[in-house]
Amino acid sequence: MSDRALLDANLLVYAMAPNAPQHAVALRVCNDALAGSVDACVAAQVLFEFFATVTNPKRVTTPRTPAVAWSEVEKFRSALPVLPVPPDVVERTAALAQSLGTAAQEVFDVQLAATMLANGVERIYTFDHGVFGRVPGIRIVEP
Amino acid sequence: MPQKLVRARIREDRRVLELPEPIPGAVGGEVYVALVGLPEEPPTDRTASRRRVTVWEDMRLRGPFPLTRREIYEDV
Repeated sequence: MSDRALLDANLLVYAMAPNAPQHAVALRVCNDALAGSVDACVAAQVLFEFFATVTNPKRVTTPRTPAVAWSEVEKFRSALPVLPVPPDVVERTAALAQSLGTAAQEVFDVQLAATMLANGVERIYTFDHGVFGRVPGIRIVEP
Repeated sequence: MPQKLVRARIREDRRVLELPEPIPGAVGGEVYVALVGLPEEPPTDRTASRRRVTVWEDMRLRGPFPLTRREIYEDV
């Protein structure tokens, strides 16, 4: 296991949305990660969730065009390690979800946690403590 | 020491770009800021932009905060 930490989607969104209460700290962590001064990684799921949020008019007042959003995705993809999805992600997610008693959209938190654990990543930068706070072996790092 | 004078927009929180202290006075106007101590050959914009997040000043995130996957996947 390493001290590497995964950047959650809410961190990326907050870093780019100046009205978010967590904007300043999220911006600092993301910029430190991109500059290489913080040992961080992302997951494909995180990047897609970021894309889905900033292009969705229900989530933001002035959604980005897909081209602009993909450009920002590329910035993170090219600068940070992207955790590979383990081939047994379904089994891992199902087992973890059942042990936690999660349902509905929480399964996507569990899938991300399962991907982290399969890759030996135990730390996550996130402001969403809901599921991650209950996953054995995962530590939340709130900036 | 190299210097560069740049025009910066004052945001609603009275901060200019990423200066650490609020600027008293006008809100929504513009000021000129002298950047001092610049490297002789600063990195190109392309290189710098790849290492920094783009802050979209015109984008407002709708609540709730914190954003969870319940919201992200709400419309899926």
